[in-house]
Amino acid sequence: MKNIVLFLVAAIAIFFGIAGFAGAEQSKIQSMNVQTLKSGMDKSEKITLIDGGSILACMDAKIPGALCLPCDSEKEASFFPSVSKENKIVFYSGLQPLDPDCALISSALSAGVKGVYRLEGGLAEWRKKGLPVVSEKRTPRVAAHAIQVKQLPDWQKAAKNPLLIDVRSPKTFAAGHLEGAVNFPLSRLHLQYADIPLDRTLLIVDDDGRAGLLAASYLARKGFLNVQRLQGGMAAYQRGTK
Amino acid sequence: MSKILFRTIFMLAALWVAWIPTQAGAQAQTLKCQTCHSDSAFVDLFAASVHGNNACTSCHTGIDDIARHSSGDKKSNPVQCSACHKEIAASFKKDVHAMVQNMTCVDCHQKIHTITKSEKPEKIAVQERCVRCHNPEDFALMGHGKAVAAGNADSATCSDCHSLHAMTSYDAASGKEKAMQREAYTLRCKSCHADQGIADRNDLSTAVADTYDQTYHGKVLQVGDSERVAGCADCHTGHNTLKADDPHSALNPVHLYTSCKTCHKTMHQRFVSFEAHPNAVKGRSYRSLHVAEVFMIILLAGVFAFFWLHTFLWWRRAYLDKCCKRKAGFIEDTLAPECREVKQIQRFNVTERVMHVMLILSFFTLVGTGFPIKYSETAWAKVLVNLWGGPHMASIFHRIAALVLCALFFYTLWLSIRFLFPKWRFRGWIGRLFGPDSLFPNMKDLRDIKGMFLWFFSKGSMPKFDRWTYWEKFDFLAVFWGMLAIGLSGFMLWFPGQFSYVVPGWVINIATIVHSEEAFLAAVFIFTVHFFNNHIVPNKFPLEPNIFTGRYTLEAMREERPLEYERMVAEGKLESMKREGPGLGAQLFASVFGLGSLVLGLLLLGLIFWAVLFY
Repeated sequence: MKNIVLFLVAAIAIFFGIAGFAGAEQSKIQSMNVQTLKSGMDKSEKITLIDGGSILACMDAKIPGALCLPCDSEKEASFFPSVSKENKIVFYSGLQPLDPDCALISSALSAGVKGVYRLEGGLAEWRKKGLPVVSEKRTPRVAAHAIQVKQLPDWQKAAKNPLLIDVRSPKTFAAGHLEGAVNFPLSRLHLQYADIPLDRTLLIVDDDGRAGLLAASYLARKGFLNVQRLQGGMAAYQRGTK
Repeated sequence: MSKILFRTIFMLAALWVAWIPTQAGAQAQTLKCQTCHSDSAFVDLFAASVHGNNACTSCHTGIDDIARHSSGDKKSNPVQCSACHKEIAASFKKDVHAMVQNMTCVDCHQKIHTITKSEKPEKIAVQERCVRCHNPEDFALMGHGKAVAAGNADSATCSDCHSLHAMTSYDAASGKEKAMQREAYTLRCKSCHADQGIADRNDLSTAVADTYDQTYHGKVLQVGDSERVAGCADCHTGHNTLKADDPHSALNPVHLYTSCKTCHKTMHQRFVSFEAHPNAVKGRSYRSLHVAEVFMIILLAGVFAFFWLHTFLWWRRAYLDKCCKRKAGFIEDTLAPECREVKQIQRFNVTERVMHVMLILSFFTLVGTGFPIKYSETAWAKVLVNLWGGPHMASIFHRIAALVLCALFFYTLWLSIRFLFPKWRFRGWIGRLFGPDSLFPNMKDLRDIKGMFLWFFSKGSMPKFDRWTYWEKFDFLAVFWGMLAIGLSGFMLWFPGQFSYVVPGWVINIATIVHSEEAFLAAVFIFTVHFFNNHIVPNKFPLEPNIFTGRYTLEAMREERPLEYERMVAEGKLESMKREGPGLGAQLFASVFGLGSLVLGLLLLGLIFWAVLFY
């Protein structure tokens, strides 16, 4: 009898262990490619598409129907309980890599949404397939000059009152940044740009050189007269200083 | 005729009449707009701009109520440049500026109302426009860009390489896309640098393109494995296309080590003497390469001159003999398999037969995967490579086959040592080395060669052979030379950086020549001379199966190797060599595998000759 009880206890423990493991598997973000997304959209499946990058980039260009909800917008976390749990939620990003620890993704997962996906290749892959994008409020680009990594020391000496504006996420900024750089994440640049002094020569530092032009153009439109970019962003800096 | 002329004049007149009110209407419309939009940018400067012949409403459509527009209630529709510039707009959709940066026409063509055609040459104008955003350090201030600015119409401006409105977007994080980028830009570079006219006008040489194509980098890129080899921009670091003697050049001796190390992570400083554009024909510049090339040519010419002559004469004599015998009724025309009941003589043991099968498999794999690289410019190279599952898989098969061949080589070496020193008995090894069971040449072989040529011309009878003929010995020893040459050079090409700790970089160039030419020698020799000597010679055609079955008839032994037969009889060993004839399975395997190998070899030979003759 004792053995039977032990056996049953073990069997129940194993069952719940497996179930828990499976549940843990389900609570992970999955990948979705552009074709699957497009075909789901064409079939009018319940898909909530979220650009988790930045408001600026999302308003500049996004997949039709996507919501602009930056990953670090904590107040938007309450959004998910209102979404049907049967919905598929697909996250992507435009110019910057989607934060792997995106708070919104965690919120979606903890809200019990079954299908939380990351779009493979993001907006770039969507565009590569020749699919349309919409611009709700495009930032006209300006001729923001690019500085090479090897020119940086000389540029800092020659520029009038230079200031390095790092537009990466706070987390990547905290992991390592250029000396003297100030963090103005692209996702909050439209809220915080007024804190940047107008009389400084700005150098935009981004992840890989893709977001810098948008940030520089936005700041130029806001009256910053001398805005330049670090060519290739921090990725180029890290390659150049290896 | 006059009717046609009349119709033409009438049509032109009608068009002119239709055009006048359109123009008048456009002008009137523009004048209306300018009553409010009176800034000079919309009046004088616009009229002088490239769009000056258009009305405002040509671009600003949708203003059908001026009163509402004037009061700000009705804005015009978004301007669509694509309405007129259809082709450019279509290609720009796929341009990296649109794809990644979401840029539109006006981001580059700013101040669109006052835009005029540049008075400067187009190449300079394009360059000046690009460097407004892009750093001019690498391009505009040096190399191509500097030449463009100086007025050189042949030199490449930004759009010559990147195109003006269709610059492809490549994802640097994707190995596949990086490879596509490398292939595309290498082709773009070659489109100018292989152009004789441009080369002549600019004191350049088209050899840079030709010689690149002859290197491992160039050949592998041509068959489509651009993910793993260097294209032009990898060494010339994209825009830095300065000559090597320029201190800013990535190819300057000061920077060369760093440049090479970008890909070759493990390498010694002496690796930099590797020549990325070798030209073995220019003996003075590349003496060592020239010597290697000449040596290989002499080797190939010597081997083929002797053996092809030998083969032809042998075929002629054997053919004549067979014809005579058939006419006399001595040969029955039958392809029936040998009867199992007939006792046969053991010639090869199981180990030797398995080794030969493995040798065939590895050899065909090496030829099938290596020759598409050697003849990468041929139409069949990519087809053959794709049969292996693509260039990368082919390279893996090539290396596996090379290791199998190396294992066979070392095992054969071990067997040879065991033959010379049985049970580590050293006494009498010279006798065994030059003895009748040895594959090492001896004086009798020289006499046999002479005897064979006399027989070819009916000046004597065919020499009597023992266990091994001189051409079989050549086949065997050629493998030793071949393994030294192909094997060593192959490992150098496989691990160039690691070998630079042992030899300087230019030795890798020599290894490329040796590997390539020796492979040609081995393949063509096997598919012509070896095939003939053993299978296609008239008295054995279409196949001599004993290397697969291990046995042959007593009659064949007495005919082909009479000295061995006599020796075995004298030593009383003949009986111990007798075996049952090969079973049906063995005969079937011998026929299918042997004939299949023959056909495959001849097919590959055809492809090789195709490449040699037509490319």
